[in-house]
Amino acid sequence: MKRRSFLHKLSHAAAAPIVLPNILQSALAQHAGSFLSNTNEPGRILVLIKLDGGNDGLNTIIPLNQLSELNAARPHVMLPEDSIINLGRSSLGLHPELTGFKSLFDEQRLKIIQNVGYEQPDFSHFRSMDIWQSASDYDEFLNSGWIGRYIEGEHPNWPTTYPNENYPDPLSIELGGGGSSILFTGNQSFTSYLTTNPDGFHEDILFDQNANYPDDNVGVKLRYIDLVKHQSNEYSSTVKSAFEQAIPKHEYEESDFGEQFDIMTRLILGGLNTRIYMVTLAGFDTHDTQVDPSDHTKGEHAYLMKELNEKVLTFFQNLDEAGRSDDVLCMTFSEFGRTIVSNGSRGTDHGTAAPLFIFGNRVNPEILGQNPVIPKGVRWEDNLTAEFDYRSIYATVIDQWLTPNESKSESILGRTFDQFELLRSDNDADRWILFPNPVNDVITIGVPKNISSFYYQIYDLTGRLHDNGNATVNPSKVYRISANNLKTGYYLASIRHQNGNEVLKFYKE
Amino acid sequence: MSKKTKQNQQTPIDLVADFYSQEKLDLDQIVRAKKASIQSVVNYSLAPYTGNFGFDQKKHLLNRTMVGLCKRHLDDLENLNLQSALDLILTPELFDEPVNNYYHQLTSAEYEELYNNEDVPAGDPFINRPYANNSSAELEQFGHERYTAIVSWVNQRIYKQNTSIHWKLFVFLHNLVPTRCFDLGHKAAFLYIKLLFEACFGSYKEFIYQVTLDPSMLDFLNLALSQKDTPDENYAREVQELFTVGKRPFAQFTEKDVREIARALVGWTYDYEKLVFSEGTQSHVFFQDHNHDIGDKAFSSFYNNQTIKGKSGMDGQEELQEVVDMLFDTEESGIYLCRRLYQFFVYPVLTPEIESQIISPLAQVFRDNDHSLVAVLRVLLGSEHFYDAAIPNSIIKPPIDFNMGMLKELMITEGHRVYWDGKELHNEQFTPNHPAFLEVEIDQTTLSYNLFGQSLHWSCYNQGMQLFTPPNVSGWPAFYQEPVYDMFWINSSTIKSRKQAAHWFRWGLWLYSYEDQGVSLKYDLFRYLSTYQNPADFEDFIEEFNQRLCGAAINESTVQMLKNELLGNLNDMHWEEYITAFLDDPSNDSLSSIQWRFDNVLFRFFELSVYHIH
Repeated sequence: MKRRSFLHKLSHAAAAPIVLPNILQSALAQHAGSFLSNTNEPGRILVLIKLDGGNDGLNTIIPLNQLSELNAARPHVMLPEDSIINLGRSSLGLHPELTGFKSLFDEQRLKIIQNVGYEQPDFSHFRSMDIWQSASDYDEFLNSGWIGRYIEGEHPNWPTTYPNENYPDPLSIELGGGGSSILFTGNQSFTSYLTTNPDGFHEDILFDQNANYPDDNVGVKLRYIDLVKHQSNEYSSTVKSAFEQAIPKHEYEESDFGEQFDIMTRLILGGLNTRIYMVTLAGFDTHDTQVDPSDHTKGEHAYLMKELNEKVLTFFQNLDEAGRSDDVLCMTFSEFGRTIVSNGSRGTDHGTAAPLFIFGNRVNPEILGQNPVIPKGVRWEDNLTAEFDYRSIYATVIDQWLTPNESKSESILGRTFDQFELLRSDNDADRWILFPNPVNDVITIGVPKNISSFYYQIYDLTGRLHDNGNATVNPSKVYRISANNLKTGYYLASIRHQNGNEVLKFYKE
Repeated sequence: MSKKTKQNQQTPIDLVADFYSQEKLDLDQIVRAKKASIQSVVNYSLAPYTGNFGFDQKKHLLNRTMVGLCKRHLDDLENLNLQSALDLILTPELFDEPVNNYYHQLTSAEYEELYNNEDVPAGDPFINRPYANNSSAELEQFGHERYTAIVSWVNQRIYKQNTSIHWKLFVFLHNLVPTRCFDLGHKAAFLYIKLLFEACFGSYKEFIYQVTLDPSMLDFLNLALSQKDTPDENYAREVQELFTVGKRPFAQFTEKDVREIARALVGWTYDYEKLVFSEGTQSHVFFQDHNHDIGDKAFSSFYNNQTIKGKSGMDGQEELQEVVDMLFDTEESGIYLCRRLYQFFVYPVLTPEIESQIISPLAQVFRDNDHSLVAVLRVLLGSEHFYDAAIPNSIIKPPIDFNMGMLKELMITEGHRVYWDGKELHNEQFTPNHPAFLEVEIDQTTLSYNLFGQSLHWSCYNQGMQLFTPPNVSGWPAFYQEPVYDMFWINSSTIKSRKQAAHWFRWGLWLYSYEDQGVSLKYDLFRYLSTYQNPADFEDFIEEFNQRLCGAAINESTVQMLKNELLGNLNDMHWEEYITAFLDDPSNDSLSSIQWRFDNVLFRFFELSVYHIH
């Protein structure tokens, strides 16, 4: 039955921002400084991407060694074999819309962790999302989120005396999701700034500077309202001025999710030094019509995959352009995966474990976790088992990205969790690097210490070969290639060496 | 170190630090202070309140039962005692239907061309007539005009509400059992709205039966597409968790219970084409017996290990009633509903005392009175506990209460269409001869301006609560999300939207609307000032405003600041002379400067934090 949509959603009137094409350039060197040393300088940023509703992991990352079992178990939604993108590793494939994920994976900028969940999974959206955001056990009821607690831990005086000289920018920003989530609620207060339209109307909000608040529930509410007004007045101006500084060179296709990414990109490129962002993509609760009946590569889930793919890819393109991508780590999360067995409405119901994606310039690209195994004679009630507790990922991100070497995760999460290596080794001697990027006349390739020769090819993105050759590496471990004959645009340097292959992407100016 | 707590014994947490203190925060101290304030409730009794039922008590009762407190509601209670006041408030309102008030956006000729279907004349009801016929071309915008008509009609009815709880209860039910009712078009939305409206004064159990078969609910929670081989669980889960017995650990229903209910309900669906494109207002919901699971359904001990026998053929329809009976046979169903009522009308935080002394007895009232919400409210709103000093003014107003309260208080009189052409603002005065408009006068009895309704709808959206667009099936987080609850309404984004809504009175009220149009509303300053005892004296005036509409005293320094803004260079005596002269002869043009001064400052009042609590 053909469904038309009764459109009544209208986008907000967002005035066109004033354009000062002054993209903030930062040094290409990494900022290894402590996460929250102050917000006067650029530093490491964490972007959380909430997939709201429960993402169908089995149609996102497909175990190619289980295709016949998948076809038998979930015929109503299964993707046609020839549409699945082969990841080229671990017998895994990607949903056909995730072409950008594939290229990020090839660039070693995507880390995939399979079967993330928790013990005794809860099938209620609200409970499970609360669990993920509060970082609790299935039988614990916490009223604060792990990010809220983290920020309060770093800023014991929050929110009084903020903003101040050392921290003029909001400590965290939520962009979608319709209101403040428990993720950013601390034990004492909210810790995030919300914005949907930084360039909009702004005028100071009246509040009583000298109020004596009564010592009861009324007083609690009044103090809270005045506090939000005060911070809103203060943060509005810093956010607005950052927003006006830059226009991202690569546009996001228009959508609510795109608008969130657009604002976030402008703020980052505009010099706002907020350290934590959250964006939300909603609609994953695909109980029915997850796919189109005549073409399973299309449908509601495909639309969401396309959105996620396009926004993340474009985000990194913009960051690359501005030389900021070393600073940013992105992480998806969702309240659960979905059932192995599909339902007759061409959908899937609430499930358990699912894959999680981390994006960053220097992530350790190793795929974690075993490919999910579809049980023999799988029934509708059967669900995937979690291999990794989701808090392992939080612990890793806290202790290896936000505040490295300070082991704060235990106090935030309540106990220790096993961690994995988040970033590739710092030792450049082990890595292939290409610089400068963007390239002018000469491409310089930094070669790992155990390599003495290699073969290279330079392609543009249409696949056309522009240059190739055999290289012998000099003692200083760099090799130079002329870029004079390359026209402006993106290129791939494909390298074959004694230990394998490497693909390095660059932009010629 | 985060605390592990069980949900029904949680430590209340103060989210707000001492605003101007430079000391390091002591979490324990804050927790103790919060506990102390909760314990400032003295009276947990449901016994009928026999204390003084004066101005403060009436204000409190109206704050919680009206969608927006205003002077005329207070006037309606002036000579009534508590029981008579409850009689008045617990009286149902009349229901009517939306009419074509969108003719300014689309004339009859334009409508017919766009939708290949005849429209109803301006001012006539349209629900019986499909908006298009099935052969209409694919359109990007689908029936937007009628959407605005329905939305503006609901907003108008709320604006004009009598001193009755009816629309407040409508909001309660809409939040408790939400759907995105416009997803299936105008008729489905109207049917849902009508169902909710009529359920307010009826049996909640009967309502649950009916809403299961509401087409927008069948769509929203996927029951309509459920297949008997692998039935869809969504409705089965939420009807328990959100609509009747509540979440675990209070309700002990199992995952199997969810699946069994899904099996008992599969087969119900609706005919989309007929719902949208045929004449009349039937829901076109029907039961597909071939798509029903005819096996027996066995339930857990939470449901007394009951079995619902599977029925084949059209008899399968009867299983729905059995499911509903089973849900309401539980103790938990009454308790859950009374909790939600309490949290919405009284205070969101539940303590063990409230559970045992208030919720539990109310649940019995609910059961004894055929699951009547109004029976429960009569006891609750007339109880000693409700009038305990700790309860009034302790909740932050939801967006719709805030917006409606401002507009109702000012008794809006006139509206002009305003639009932005990219460069400047145009303000059109509509006359009776204007081709697009027939009705331009907006007064207390005929507020039917389409753009007004739309604008209000958008303002509520910006503040985080737009009717008929709930964020998800849980309703709006402010009504359920611990520990913040009503504080959820206020964040850095919504506080600006609230200020904007108040601020726009400066220019007459222009709210953003569709295609950069809006409406400029006017209030009658003379009429408004006449509702005050001594409007000529600024301090008396603000004092009376404070008493009438605010939740706490406005600080003296703020009063002085606002006085300076209003009076400017005038001294008190001159000001008093001006106002007195104005009140004697409001048509005197030389006093027009009073209007803009009042516009400037009166609407600052609505920015004050004390105006945002009730």
